[in-house]
Amino acid sequence: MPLSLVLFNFLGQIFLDKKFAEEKSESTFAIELNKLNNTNWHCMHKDEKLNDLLSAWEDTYKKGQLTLWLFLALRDGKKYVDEMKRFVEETSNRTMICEEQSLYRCLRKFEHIGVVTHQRGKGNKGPERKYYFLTPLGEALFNQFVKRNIYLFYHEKIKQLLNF
Amino acid sequence: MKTVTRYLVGFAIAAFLLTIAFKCSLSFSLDRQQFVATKIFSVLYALSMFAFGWFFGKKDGAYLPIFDVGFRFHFTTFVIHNLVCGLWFLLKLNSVREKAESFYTILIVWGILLLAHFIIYLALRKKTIDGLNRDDLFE
Repeated sequence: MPLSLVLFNFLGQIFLDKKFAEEKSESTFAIELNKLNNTNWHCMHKDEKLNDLLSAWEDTYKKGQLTLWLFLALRDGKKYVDEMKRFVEETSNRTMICEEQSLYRCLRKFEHIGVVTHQRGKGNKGPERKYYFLTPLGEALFNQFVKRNIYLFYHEKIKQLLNF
Repeated sequence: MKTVTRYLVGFAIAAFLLTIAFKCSLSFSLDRQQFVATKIFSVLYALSMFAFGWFFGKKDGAYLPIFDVGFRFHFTTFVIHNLVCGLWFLLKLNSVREKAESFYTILIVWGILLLAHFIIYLALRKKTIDGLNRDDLFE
């Protein structure tokens, strides 16, 4: 009787140990899987976050950029609105997408303050177009702006930091 | 500096026609002692002027955002309304129940309010370059 009890106890112990080991291995596996998932999730989350941050920074960064691109387009020569839009989008590698409405709105403001003006000229086909160009005040404004804000990026130290 | 935009002219024309219609209906209803109609016409006139001001003002802001805290539209309303009312009395088109004194009272009180608006406009003009808000100038 005690022998059978011991045997039973022993077998029971083995069964329990096995079960415990299985449970332990299952839980270890689950932890490992969880860790892996977490790592993936963290990677994905990190990428997502990076994209979010990049997008937020670019949105802010681009806010004052339209003026610079428009001035560059007009510095390139007299242009009508369609040409300006094409110039801005192509030259900026499509990082700047502008709608005609916002271009017209900008140009009206610039004409009002006297940095841009226009003259009427024949288009390729269809009616006359307004060809916009910089006034002497606009040229001076652009030169001053570039000198103070763009030339900085040509400094050797900043070029190194930008990995040029 | 461009202050008279096409939308301001549009508003001035609409306000002129609306004021004439209002004065006609006002004199007509007062002559016939239809005082309820007089009140209704007055409320309709005020609401219509507000709606026209809102509509043309929005369009004007989208066309060229002149930073004048609504002073140009207020001034136009003042000039058009009082010009039509003044001419109404001058041409003797007014009802016998309309008195010139009420016209002068409105002119003086409204003139004081307009002057206050003008002072606010002058104070806020310091934030502008050629009438455009310097914060909205470059995009």
